[in-house]
Amino acid sequence: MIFPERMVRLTVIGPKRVMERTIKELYSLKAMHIVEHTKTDIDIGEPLAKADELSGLLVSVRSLIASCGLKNGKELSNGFKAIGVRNFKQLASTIKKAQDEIRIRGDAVSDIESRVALLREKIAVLNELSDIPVPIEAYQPYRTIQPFVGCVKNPKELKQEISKVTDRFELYTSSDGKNLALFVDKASAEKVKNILNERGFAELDVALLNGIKGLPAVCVERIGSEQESLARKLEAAKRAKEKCGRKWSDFLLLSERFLSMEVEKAEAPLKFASTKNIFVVTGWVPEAKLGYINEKLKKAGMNKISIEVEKPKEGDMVPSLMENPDKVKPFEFFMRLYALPKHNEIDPTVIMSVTFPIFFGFILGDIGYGFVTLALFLFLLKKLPKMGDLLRIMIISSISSIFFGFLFGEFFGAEVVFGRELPHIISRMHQINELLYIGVAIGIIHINFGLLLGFINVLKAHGLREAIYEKGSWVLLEAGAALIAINMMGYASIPAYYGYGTIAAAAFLLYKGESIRGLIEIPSIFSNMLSYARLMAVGVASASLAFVVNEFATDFFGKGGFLIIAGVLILLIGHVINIGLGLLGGFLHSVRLHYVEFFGKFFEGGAIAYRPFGAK
Amino acid sequence: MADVGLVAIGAGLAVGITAIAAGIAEKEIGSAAVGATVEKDEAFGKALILTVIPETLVIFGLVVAIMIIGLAAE
Repeated sequence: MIFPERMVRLTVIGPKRVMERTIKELYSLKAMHIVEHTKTDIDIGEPLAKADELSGLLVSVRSLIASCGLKNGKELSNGFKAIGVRNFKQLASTIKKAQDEIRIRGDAVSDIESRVALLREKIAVLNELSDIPVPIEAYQPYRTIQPFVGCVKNPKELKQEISKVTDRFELYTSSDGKNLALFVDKASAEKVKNILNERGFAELDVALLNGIKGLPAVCVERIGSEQESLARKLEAAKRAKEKCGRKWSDFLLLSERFLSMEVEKAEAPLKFASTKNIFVVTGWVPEAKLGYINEKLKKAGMNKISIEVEKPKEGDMVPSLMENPDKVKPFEFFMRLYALPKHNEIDPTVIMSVTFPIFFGFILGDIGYGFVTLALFLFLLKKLPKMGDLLRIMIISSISSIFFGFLFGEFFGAEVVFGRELPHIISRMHQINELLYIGVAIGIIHINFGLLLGFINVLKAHGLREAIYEKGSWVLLEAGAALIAINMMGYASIPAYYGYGTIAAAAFLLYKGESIRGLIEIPSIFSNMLSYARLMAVGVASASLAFVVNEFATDFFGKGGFLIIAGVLILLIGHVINIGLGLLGGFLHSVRLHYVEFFGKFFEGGAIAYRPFGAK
Repeated sequence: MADVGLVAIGAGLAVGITAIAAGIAEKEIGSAAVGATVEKDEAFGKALILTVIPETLVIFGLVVAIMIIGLAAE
């Protein structure tokens, strides 16, 4: 709970003929975080022989799943049996069958779709020509006449200009003159083309209309009915494809799971070291499971494999698995967001599960806001189970807000509700100075607790002397500062050199522990403590905003009539915005106090996550 | 009792100037953070935290403002 799970390094060496069995066992154990072998004198292993075929099948299955848009498969329980096939060969042939069936229907759909697209293009062209009274078949190429069909940007005096070039032409235009059909003697076609081009001529693709006869308007009607019947066909084809997809859905989704597992197993040797006859795999397993793993692996390897166990050494990249009680587990979210604790340092999740809600509540502390956010997060938890960890944290924090709301006697920013003043321990609107002291006092406790944890970490890793140098020195520094402060404020008369002497001693220890860098950072401990003033500051800002919203709305209520509705709107919008700001501020500042001020005193982190082979 | 107006100006300056400073710092961090988030989605959490770090400056400003008001009242 306080430290992450203890890991040991496991090295498994065995002859290649038991490699596949060993991989299978490792996969089902779901306990070994395999360390990838990098090529040295010993080569990287080669995938099992069937890997290529398996990944080929996996690719086809995945493409089928994507083309049918399948999702939400059942859990895969027992290999082939669940899928409904007896062996690998049958699986491959069934996939082939599914592929054929789905492909036929898919091809039918795309065939109709392309025909529909073609019709749509035809109709677009016909629409352009709709008020030109020329039958479509007239646009065929001729031996002596060159037809130009299209539209020009500037139709003004086009006819006159063309007649300057030739009088052997016929021009039909739409009512605005922009769409035109022009038939010209081939001899002057080039010149006419230039004229048209100068006017921004864009040709219509009349070749598309080959085979269509009659006036454009009639054709549009005819093609429209054709389009309708095609649309019906398309619908039917799509339904057929969907039905086919549904038929194969379970099989495909289960095969996908099964095959991706098999591919992972088949490709596992890529992480191994291997020679001609031997394979070596190293990885980390939780110490607690060591006995069980040992036994299982020995059995799977038919007693032909050798297993070596080592404790982690300095500089090892040990994967980290946090081990916390279920109630505290959601708070591991903060560690994943920041950095995972190393195997030999304290995992602050448990501590954070207590302090985070306190800080958050202190900042948002309001009975009304607390209940609103509580309801919001309970609702979101149902809607977004994926964000469960964060939402559970926020639910606990909302409850803490309600608790602090009672301490501060605040209900939606108001201290007086229905003419009665809410009882309170301390008022955020009127006792800002006291709140400031409380905030900083919380900071001093929090930071010193952090230093204590740091002391334990260093003690474990490097021994007592280093722990005193690196962490004890800070406490001594604080004591020195406290002595001076007590003297200056006149609580007791202590000779000043006591305080200065203590600080000097602390600085010396710090120098020994963290060299010059430690000395430079001396002021940071005081700024860190002062930083906890944000507990007061952000909270008071939020409370004041709520107060302003209430005052504003009360003014409107006083005026009566229509303005009462405006007042209600102001209350609603104002408090919604303020709750949003309060959540963001409360969360970020609480998190920040932990990450920067608290963790800085003891936490290093940076471990990689424990991802055992075989787990999802 | 010091001049009330001057005390108020002093307190206001303490908060205002530190807020500008925090704003400048957050501008730099924020743009870098957005860049990092585009490259790598998981960096969002860290980016958000890093962005609010300079807010301490305003907090200090506020503490100083409260102290100015407190000292003036004496």
